[in-house]
Amino acid sequence: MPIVWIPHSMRELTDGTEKVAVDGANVREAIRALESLYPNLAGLLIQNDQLGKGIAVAVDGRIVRRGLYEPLRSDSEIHFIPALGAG
Amino acid sequence: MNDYVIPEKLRVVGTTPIRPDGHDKVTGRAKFGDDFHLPGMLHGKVLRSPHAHARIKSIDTSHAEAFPGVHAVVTAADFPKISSNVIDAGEAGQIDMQDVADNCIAREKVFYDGHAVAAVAADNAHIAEEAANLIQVDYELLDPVMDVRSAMADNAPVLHDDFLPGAFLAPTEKALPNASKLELSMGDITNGFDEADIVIEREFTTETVHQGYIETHIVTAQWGANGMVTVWTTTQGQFAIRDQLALVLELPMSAIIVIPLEIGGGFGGKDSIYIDPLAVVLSKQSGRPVKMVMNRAETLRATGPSSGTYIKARLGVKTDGTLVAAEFHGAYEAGAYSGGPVAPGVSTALTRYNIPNIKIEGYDVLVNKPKVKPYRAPGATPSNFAVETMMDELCRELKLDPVEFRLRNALTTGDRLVLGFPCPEIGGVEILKAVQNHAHYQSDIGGPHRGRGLAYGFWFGAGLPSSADLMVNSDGTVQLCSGSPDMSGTRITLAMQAAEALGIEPGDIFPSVGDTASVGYSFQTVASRTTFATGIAVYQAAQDILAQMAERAALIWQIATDNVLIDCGRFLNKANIQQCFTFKELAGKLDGTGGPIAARALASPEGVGFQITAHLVDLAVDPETGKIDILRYTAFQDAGKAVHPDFVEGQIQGGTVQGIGWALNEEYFYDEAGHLKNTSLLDYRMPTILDVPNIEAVILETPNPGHPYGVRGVGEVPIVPPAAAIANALYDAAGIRMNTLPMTPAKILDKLNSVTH
Repeated sequence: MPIVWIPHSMRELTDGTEKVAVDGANVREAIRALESLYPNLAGLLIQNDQLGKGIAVAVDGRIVRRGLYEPLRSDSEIHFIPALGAG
Repeated sequence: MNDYVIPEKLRVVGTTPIRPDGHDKVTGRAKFGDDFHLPGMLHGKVLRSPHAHARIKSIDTSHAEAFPGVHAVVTAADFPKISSNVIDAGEAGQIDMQDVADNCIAREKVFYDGHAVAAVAADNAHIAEEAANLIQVDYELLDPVMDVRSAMADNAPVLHDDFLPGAFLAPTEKALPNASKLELSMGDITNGFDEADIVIEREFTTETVHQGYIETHIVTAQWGANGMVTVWTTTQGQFAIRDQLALVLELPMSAIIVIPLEIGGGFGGKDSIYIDPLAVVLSKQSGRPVKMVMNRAETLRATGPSSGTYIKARLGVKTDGTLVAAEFHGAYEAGAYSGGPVAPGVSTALTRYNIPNIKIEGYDVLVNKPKVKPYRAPGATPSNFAVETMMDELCRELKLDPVEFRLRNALTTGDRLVLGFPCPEIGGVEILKAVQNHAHYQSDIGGPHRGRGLAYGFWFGAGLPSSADLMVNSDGTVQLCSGSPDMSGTRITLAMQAAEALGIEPGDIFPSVGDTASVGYSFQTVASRTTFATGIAVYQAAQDILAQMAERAALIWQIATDNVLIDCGRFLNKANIQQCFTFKELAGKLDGTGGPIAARALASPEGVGFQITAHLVDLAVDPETGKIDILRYTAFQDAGKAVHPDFVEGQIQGGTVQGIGWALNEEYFYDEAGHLKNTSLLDYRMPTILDVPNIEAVILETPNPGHPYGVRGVGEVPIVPPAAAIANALYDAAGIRMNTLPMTPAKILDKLNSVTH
């Protein structure tokens, strides 16, 4: 199953758990699966049906453009990171 | 996502052809913002706030409206209150458009000295300025807050009553009056410091600096009779200007055409609107085109500087030189509206070292200064200054060679980043070994009061959307149009990638930059992304062209397209290689085989190659005056693959010079009331050619598998290490540690005197 790495600031909602294996064909489904285990998580990650303000997602080592719709493999790693921007 | 198979030998990429826009630029023929004129054009000027923080009680424009030669006057009342206010900015996150609108023209409060309050269009700029000064604004003065620590203190003046602090992926709490918080971590910070034999903790401050582009902001706008708006402007992103204008003015994006003119510098600061919507509404009200030109004082007072910061960091190391723990706290000025460079600043603070236990806290802090804008590797220079000077201190404490120390702790491919995921291909070890083996590192420093310093730097870069159009002409030449403004020679670097892919010469490609009505959407020329990301769009369009041309050859030879071999600009019949067309020959046959060929590609590449660099500097410090002279400077950087090595060298040198300015001279001076006091380039002191020696650029190439030719971005990381390298060299020369930027002669002299007495 894909593995979601829980950001530091969210671990109080996962009782300190750092990595969670969840079912999901894409990032959105993985978040929904995560929410069933840890209520209140999804509300931090998804706002107005898109990734929350200032959040980007990295899947398998790449910051992805399809966001919530990025497909996952069975061994994918998902990381939620701050949007970085640049000049 | 594809990893590309990068060819071992490249024919065009890596050479140094003449840029096609060079002649026009050096002979003054190129059209920059101020070169543009329209018949019947009016000139606009802005009335700006003389106060850093005040409530607008009333605005009386009647005297200005009655002034002879005035055709229109606007205030915030002439702009819509935005209904849909958050837009996606790709990897840069989201932007609150109401903030963008309010930054262009103040609605209820002014938040910084120079904040626009009203604008006038008149027959000429002098009349407009005189009339603007007749506008009467009644202000209720409020206490300003000018630095991050004051802004985060209890009972600090609150800038925005409705401010909702964002806490990165944590429930938001208004624990601080003007700040949002970001936390990152890995490992166990307590155990990490317990393992350390030596722990040091230091504090740093850096001042607000400006990007310092020589061409100021200039825009001409025309509201057409059919409701179509046309804007000619100097910008890093015509689509960004179009989209922001559409949202701020509540117009359809398709009703606005933004035509990018040449750009006289941007460095991140020309990615968004300032005077643009004012010019559009003045044009609408006057029925005439309106040109607006910011002078230098306006540019310094009211356009995006980069953040001043307060940083506190703690590092733990074992006696064998292994870093085991790092804690980094960085508070970055956001300016008048939230959204400064805290995320990239703190995320890059330690990223280049493989440290198992890290805790990072970043704060985005509202202060009464202009809304900060990106500046070349935004946020990374202050964090690098702090961390790299502490690394130098640890090296000396441990009596370790600074390169050996960094090699022992260098981040390598596959190591976990503080962001969590494994580091992609990175050539940090190669960079450090290149330093070690370089003649500069092995040379004697010579002479008294001289010192040598090293700093190591990192930057992420970005992908984001880019478009490119290719069209084959019947004589075998090719038109290339991209949506990426050319800030640094990207016309030629894109043409070279097209030529490489098509198997023709770069001189046979004519590259141009399209407006928003003529080319596909492209994100701004920012984030070191154009040669990388737009290059991939060009490459993909070229593959499409080759496929279409192979179909034409197959048609002529009456064979299956699969039987056409494409080999470096030639099309051959695999079954009979005597049958062969050159690119030019086949281009001449397009008209009779189905007509012209064109291709468009829109790419959003994700395989960004990280940027890594090390800077080595020798300097002399005058013990009588505290003045620093840079004697020798060598910058080592991984370009992945240098498409045009001369321009990579130019980027390295340009970024380094800006970093030297940040290190030694540049800063905003505000008085206690929040007035900016140094509003000219005489007083805002950027380095000139007389201040810096030749900067030797050593280009290394660890290919990025996310690009067909291995390209990494190169434009941003050169500004990251200069301040730390210079501070370390100063310690070597004089035994003083500077914990503040800029390191002016006065500060150095104070420090020297405090050590001596």
